[in-house]
Amino acid sequence: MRRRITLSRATLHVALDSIAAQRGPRDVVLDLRADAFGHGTVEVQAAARSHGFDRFAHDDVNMYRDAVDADVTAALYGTAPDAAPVMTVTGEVISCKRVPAGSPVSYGYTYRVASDSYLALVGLGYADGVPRSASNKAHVLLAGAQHVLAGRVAMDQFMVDLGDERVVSGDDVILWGAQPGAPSPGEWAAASGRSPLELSAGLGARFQRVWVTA
Amino acid sequence: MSAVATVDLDVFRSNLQLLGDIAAPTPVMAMLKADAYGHGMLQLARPAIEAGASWLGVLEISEGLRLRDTGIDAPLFAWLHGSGADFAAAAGRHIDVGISTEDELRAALTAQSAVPLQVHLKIDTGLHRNGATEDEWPGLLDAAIAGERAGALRIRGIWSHLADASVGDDEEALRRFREAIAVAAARRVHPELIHLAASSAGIRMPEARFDMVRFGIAAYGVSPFDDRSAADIGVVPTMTLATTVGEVSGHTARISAGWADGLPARAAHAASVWVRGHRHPLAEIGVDSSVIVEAAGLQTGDPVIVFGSGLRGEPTPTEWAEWADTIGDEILTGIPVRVPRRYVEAGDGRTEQPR
Repeated sequence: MRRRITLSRATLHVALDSIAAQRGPRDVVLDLRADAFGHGTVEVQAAARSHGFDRFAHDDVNMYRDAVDADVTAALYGTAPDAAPVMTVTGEVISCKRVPAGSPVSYGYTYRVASDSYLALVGLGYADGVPRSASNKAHVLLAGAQHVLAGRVAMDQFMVDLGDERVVSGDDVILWGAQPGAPSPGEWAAASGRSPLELSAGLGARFQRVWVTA
Repeated sequence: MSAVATVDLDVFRSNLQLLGDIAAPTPVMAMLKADAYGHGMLQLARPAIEAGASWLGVLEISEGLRLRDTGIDAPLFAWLHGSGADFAAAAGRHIDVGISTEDELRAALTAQSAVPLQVHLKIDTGLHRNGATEDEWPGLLDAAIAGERAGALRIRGIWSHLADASVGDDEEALRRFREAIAVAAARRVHPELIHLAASSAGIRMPEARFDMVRFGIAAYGVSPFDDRSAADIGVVPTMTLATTVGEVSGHTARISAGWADGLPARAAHAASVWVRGHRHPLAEIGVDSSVIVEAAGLQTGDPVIVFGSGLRGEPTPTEWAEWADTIGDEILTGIPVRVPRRYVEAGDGRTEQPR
């Protein structure tokens, strides 16, 4: 099953350039805690060093802990509003089925489709770090448009209400990221009540992490 | 140290035994998906079998193959198949698969294998996740019957999953399940294993037990109910999450675990942790550390129980779930891999087993 975190070197370098230009690389501390909030400490630190940064906050090290700056952190990972996120989170459509109007969806029947609809089953759940609190609120990019998570997020899967759109097994589902039309980390944060950094750091071990040049 | 999760294999075994007694004489499948709800699938497989589980359930075929590679020869069941699912390996290594649609069946049979694939056909009884709809069910049955005649598969089971929405909704789902079984029976399909109940129905809906109950969350000591606690059922939480007190200053102290160790940030102000025999409220849950208030008398290095069995008065995973407005399943599966797991058991004289 495909569960992928795509990390953009180009976006990270643009962010580092911008921080270096505004603040000076030796005047800020970059926050690399929680494995660079799920991005990968090794890669982020190496990229930062190439831009002249040399002060980093790591887990369980008190030095610099109080020197981290939330605005710099948001700029680094691209989680600020209107910033390009370094991370894109992608899952996979497992199946798609047509259900009649009024059909309940997932545990507790907290969601019912308004009209005859296609429902896509996506192979990601709260065990992967998709917050259960995002149930019925967050949106994903699928079939060229954003669609709401229908019903409660389960341990290994969630459902998406596609209305009249149809998708096929294996299609990519983007939770948040840099693609045009994709939800932003901030939108997922608002929907789930977790901060963007908690969201990215909370993505689970079943994900494959891939750094790409672009 | 940031945090350590200790899994008590004896508690896991006794939970499963108790659940097996409740379901008896119906056999039990122990659910080990999501790395055994964050506990470690490879470490819990043998204890599950020792505690009487006849079957082990995983999510994907790939997890079943990992269990086979470590010498587990118990019956295995996997039911969520994404791209790359290796159905030929499933057939060859005797991993039964759940099948929901004709398309999925076709994909499964594209992979040629010397031995027939053992399939459990899934009917959607209301949850509207996977499983054939009522309209799709006859077509799925006919396709499977054709596959069986051709020697490519064997219809081993019919199954579904309940929504735990309400007693009435679950009864309606049970009615639909029986109808689907009748539709199969009219085609002379009488599989060996009819299964529907997970923890919730397995405990309090005897008519839903059929030939097997799939126990997941209850085996890890967390109640599947809103109105009955783990203690009411008789199960005990299997995981203890511990850390230590870091800096102490006046009436506050830091503990060396935060949300990157699986403590949900939204639980701050409601949550407390157990230090020196008392609960201490958390005012803040940070990235890699959190702040205890009312810390008078605490010292750097003191052991801290974030959650555990609850038997000494410490918080349980269920209490953390209430504090974070979720369910215990999300607390347990949310403990990240960076938190090392330790395994304890008394049975064979070993006290600890590294992961």
